[in-house]
This record gives sequence, structure tokens and C-alpha cells, in this order.
Amino acid sequence: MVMIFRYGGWLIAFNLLFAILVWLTMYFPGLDLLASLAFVFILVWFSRCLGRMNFIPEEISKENDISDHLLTAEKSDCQRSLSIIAISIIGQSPGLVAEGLAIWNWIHFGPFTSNYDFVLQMWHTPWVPFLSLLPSWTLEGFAVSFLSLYLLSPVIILFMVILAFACQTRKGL
Amino acid sequence: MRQPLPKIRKPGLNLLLALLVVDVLLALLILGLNGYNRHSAPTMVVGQGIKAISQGHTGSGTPSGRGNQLALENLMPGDILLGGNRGSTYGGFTHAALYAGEGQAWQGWLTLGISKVDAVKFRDYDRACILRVAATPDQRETVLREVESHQGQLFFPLPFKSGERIWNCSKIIWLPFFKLGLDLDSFQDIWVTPDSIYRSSLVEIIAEDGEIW
Repeated sequence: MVMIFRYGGWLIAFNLLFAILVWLTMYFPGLDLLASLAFVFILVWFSRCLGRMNFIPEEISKENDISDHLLTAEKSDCQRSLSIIAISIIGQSPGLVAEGLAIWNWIHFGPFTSNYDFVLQMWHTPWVPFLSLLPSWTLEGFAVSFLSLYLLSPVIILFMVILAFACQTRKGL
Repeated sequence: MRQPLPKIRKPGLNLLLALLVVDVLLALLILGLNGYNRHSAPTMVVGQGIKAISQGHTGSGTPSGRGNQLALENLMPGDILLGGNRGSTYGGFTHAALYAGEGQAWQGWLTLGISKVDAVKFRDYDRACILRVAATPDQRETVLREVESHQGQLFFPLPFKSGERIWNCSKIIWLPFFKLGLDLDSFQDIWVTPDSIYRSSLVEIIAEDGEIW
């Protein structure tokens, strides 16, 4: 459990530090795109690490025979999968919370009545250079680049989970 | 037998610290490039924001709905509309738009990017004003054409002056005028804000209403 929150926390820290980095690199147009690419690289690397990480408690994994501790291979695989999903969700939790609050305000008070849309954009600053390359399309009167902010957190979670699962190392007993 | 897990390089604290150092160095570089010292303080926007937040002001550029009676009759294409609310974070005025004619103005707005808005919306703010830039009709026309060419592009609250992909409400007005040799940024900061345009010596106040501080 500690491991899940530790890695989830690191994901949040990476996102925040990259938000600052990408924002600062906007001062040098073009460099912001490179900083965003570096963020994508970090996410890919993180996901691959998650896929190959051992989430079984240390005292158990030190033993050669897991079955002694009543943990079957299926159980440990399930535990790993759940841990990967949990870490990815924790890593995007600030974005999910801002999204939830913004949607709640939209439903109750109408569109753009809170500052949570700004918070959401701040959280997704590492993606802003990519969003700025999107065509100027609108959907129901809203810019596609703005609406994309609402999709980003779920898409990032899905992306990380799929990549981590794809990179998982199978452990035989 | 269980296979030993392969050795992997885990994401760790070292990378986070390295990233933090890069952030700080980059911030110092930008401040250094702009001749920062604690007296000239080119980062007035941040200072203003921190001061406002410390006083409990967290308002944005969204109209409050309290309203004003700004006279819109004398608006001319190329005029600048400013609006602001009590308790806003980054200045007296929080939103700017460039009047395009026929009751509409170009703005940078989070949900819409660079888009048109009804000029009458500026009556929803606590305070509003109309500024006329000391520019020729041809220059105004050029500025309007340039703003229109960026229609739909992305809004970001605090973009630097450089670059033409990411905008806020003030930058989309400032840059086309700046290209014509008219620098409306009176603060000479690394960002442009509505207050900075309001205090420019190149603009004349045509009308204003509400609590102008």
C-alpha cells in the first residue's frame, strides 16, 4: 500500500514539475514541444517500470516459494494489476478532482462558472504545447483544445495501464 | 522454481530533484534575460497575484454579473475593451478584447480560444472601460486582420510574450500592435496584462464605468 502511494505521489510530483518546466519553456517557442515530449517519455518509462515492478511485499518476495505464503501466481498477478491501476489513478487524481468539480459546477450553475477549468488547464500544462497544435475546431460552441482537457486524465490513466500491462513480466512458479 | 525478477531502474527521487533544479535554473535564466533585479521587478504579474491571493482574492476574469453602465456608442473597430471585478487575482482589469465592429469583439477565452464575444458582455463586469490606441485606420485594420488569423487558437492564462501558438486575452491584442511598432505593455514585463495596457501612454480612455480604483 505504501508503495502504491509512493509511486502515485511521484507521478503527481513529475506532473507538477513538468507543468512548471513546460510553462517556462514556452518562453522559448519550440522548446515547449520538446519538454512535452520529454514528459511523454517519462510517462512511458514510468509505465514500463510499473509493468516490471514487484508489488509483492518484500518479506514474501524474498522467499523462493510463494505458495508457502498462500499467495498463488494468479493472486500476485491480480495484486500487481490492481496496484498498477491504483498508481495510475492516484497519479492523475488532481486532474480527476478538478475535472469532477468543474463538471459539478457546469451541471449546477452552467458552463464556465468556476475556476476549476483553469485549475484543470494548469494541471495539464505539460500537454498545452500539443493542444496548441490542434486544429481550431469547435464542438457545441467549445474549442476542441478546451474539451480535450476533460479527456486527458482518463486517457493518461488508460495509456499507462495498457502500457504497463503490455510490459508486465510473467512470473512462473 | 520462481524466476528472479529482472533488475530495473526505477523512477526515483534523483530524477525529481534534477527536474526541480532544471525548473529553478530555467526560471533564473528567464529572469536574467529580462534584467531582473528586486527593484525593477519585471515579474509584476506574479507579485500582484501573490499579493491578491494573500488578501484572499482568488477571482478570475469571469464577469461577476453586478454590472456597469459603460457607454458603448462611441466604439470604433480597433478599440480595446477592458473589464474587471472586485477581488480579482491579477489586477484591476481581468479581461481584454479588441472591438471588431457590429457589436462584436475579439477575445482570448479559456473555453473558446481566440473567438468573438458580444461587446455588451463587458457591461457585466464591476468595472469596464474603452481604450483607443494612437494608431492610424490602416494600422487598426491590419491589427484586426492579424487577430482574425489566429481565430480558434489556444488560450492559456499566463503565456510569455514570445511565440504565436498560445495566447491570453491581452497578448492577442498586444502582439499585433507591437508588430506595428506600438508597444502597449506599459509594465515592460515578461507577460502582458489588461492593467498594463490600461496604463499605456499610447492609449486614450474613451469611456469607463464602475469602480475604477
